[in-house]
Amino acid sequence: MIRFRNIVKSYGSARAVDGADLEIAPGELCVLIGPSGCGKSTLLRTANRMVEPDSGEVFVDGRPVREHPPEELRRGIGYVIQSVGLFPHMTVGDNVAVVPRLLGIDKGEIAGRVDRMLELVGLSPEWSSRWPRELSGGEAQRVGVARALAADPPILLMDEPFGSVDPLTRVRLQREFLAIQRRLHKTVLFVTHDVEEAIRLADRIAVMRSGRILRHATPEEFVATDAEDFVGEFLGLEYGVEILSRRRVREVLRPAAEIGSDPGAPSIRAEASLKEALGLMAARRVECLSVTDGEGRRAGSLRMEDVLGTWKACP
Amino acid sequence: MNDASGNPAAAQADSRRLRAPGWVFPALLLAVLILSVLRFDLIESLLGIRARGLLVSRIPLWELALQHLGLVAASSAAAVPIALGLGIAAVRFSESGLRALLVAAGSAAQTFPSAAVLALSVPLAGFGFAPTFLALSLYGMLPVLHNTIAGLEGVPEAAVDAARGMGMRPRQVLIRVQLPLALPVILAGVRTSVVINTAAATLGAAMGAGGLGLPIISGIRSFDPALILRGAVPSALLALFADASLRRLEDRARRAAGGKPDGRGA
Ligand SMILES: Nc1ncnc2c1ncn2[C@@H]1O[C@H](COP(=O)(O)OP(=O)(O)O)[C@@H](O)[C@H]1O
Ligand SMILES: [Mg+2]
Repeated sequence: MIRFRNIVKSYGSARAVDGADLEIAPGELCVLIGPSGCGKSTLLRTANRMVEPDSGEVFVDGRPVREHPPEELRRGIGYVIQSVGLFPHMTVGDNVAVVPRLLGIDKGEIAGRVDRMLELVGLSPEWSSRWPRELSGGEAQRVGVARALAADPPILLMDEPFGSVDPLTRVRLQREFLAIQRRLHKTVLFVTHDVEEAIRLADRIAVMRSGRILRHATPEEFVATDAEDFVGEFLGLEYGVEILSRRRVREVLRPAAEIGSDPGAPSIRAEASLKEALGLMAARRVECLSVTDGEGRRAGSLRMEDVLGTWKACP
Repeated sequence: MNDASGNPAAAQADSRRLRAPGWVFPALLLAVLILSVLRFDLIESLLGIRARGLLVSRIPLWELALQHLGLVAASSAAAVPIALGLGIAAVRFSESGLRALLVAAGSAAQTFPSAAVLALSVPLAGFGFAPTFLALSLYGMLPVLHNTIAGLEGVPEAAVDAARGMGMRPRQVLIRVQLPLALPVILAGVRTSVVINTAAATLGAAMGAGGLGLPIISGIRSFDPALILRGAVPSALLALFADASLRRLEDRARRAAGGKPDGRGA
């Protein structure tokens, strides 16, 4: 769906992107991660021709992007940036309607679409008549996402979209975006420098350094990375714990029928993540938890060895 | 948001009730201006002075005021669109050196005394309305040019980046995003330009262009302060009126650009 082939881009004598290769499959959410200044934004912006590479080629749907007029290309690709860039002189509704209007979609259809988009990002239609200055950081980011999705583009480019909100709002926005992505299956290139964010969202993670993609794999595959090399060092030793946030307790619990009960074991919800389970084990200094289902009934137990064994079993 | 100062909504409603509507002040100035050119004798008796009348022009004061207004209006009407166009071109093609050239030329011209600009345009355009119009137009372009460049460059980078990234063509970015957001600053330049030219137009009398400068020049020649006031007071009132009404327009543009809460859509 999106393929970057040997992209090079220099500013003066400095190479911002230095021979980057990356391929993102249709419907895949690829998180591009790397230290600040390593060329993530520059690479992302070659996909909608906001940056023209010195050499190399970007393909969208198998066709080189340079064959499309830039404006038409961009109208078919959603674009979300960290600073949001809402137009302060337009209402929320008019902001969301920008691309549909550029595409000449008729008025009645646009009004309905604006409401649907706002609803999608968790805002009621009344928000449509508000002004950007009245929004909190998190609300503005939601509107930014709604605006990028309004013309229903198959591709989304997101450059640190949740970078400027507080950690709690950030986690909520990530969770909501993931829910949207599970429904819409866009092809997404998502830039961040936050490892936790990458683990939460990514189908695949691409690690970038000094203008090159060092490694591109599923989050689970990165667990086996050598802690000594750059990728391992960048992801950090906590990676092995963080990755447990991608799986739920219910996926690995031992049903109550299989084993006897553990009287006195602390209990945890089946919907909790394995990272939370491990945290609870560490806090209580136990190796076994009692798992409860949604109604608070005992569903089984979870042992530390089950938690530690999980990612081996992952695809 | 800040509950420390009590209920903000109520405080806002209060200040709205206490503040006079924005058009009251300009309207008041206009009324005083009209009164002053029709019945300057009232102002003279108020101040207890009287022009000695040696060099009092036979042309009535209201006619001089209209000439003055015509000069300012014509020169501003020429200066504003040209300067706006130059400013837009300067920002759009800033790599070509046009911006640097215009900014340098503008700053240099600003340091040049307006009286000298007027005098130097006589050999170019002859005597009368034309040289004054030419000089005032050139002079009036400077603040508009300066503010157009500053206004466009002050538009948040993120808004322009988003506009381009969403697929607006350069012209659409300019018209739909950059100009509306730069408008308050551009209008401030227009206001400065008009106010400066209202004062500078009095110099046009020396060029044979008539206007409110005529009584001022006559007053200087005949050492008659009262006669000077006859030109100076209406000219100052005209400048104040232009300033007040354009300021109102500017405030409106600032609200439209999303800069200040005004309760719309809240
Ligand atoms: N328009 C530009 N002009 C000059 N240098 C740039 C420009 N854009 C990016 N760079 C430089 O290229 C490098 C990579 O930038 P960027 O892609 O924004 O990094 P990242 O998004 O990973 O933080 C940085 O050193 C940055 O200073
Ligand atoms: Mg960046």
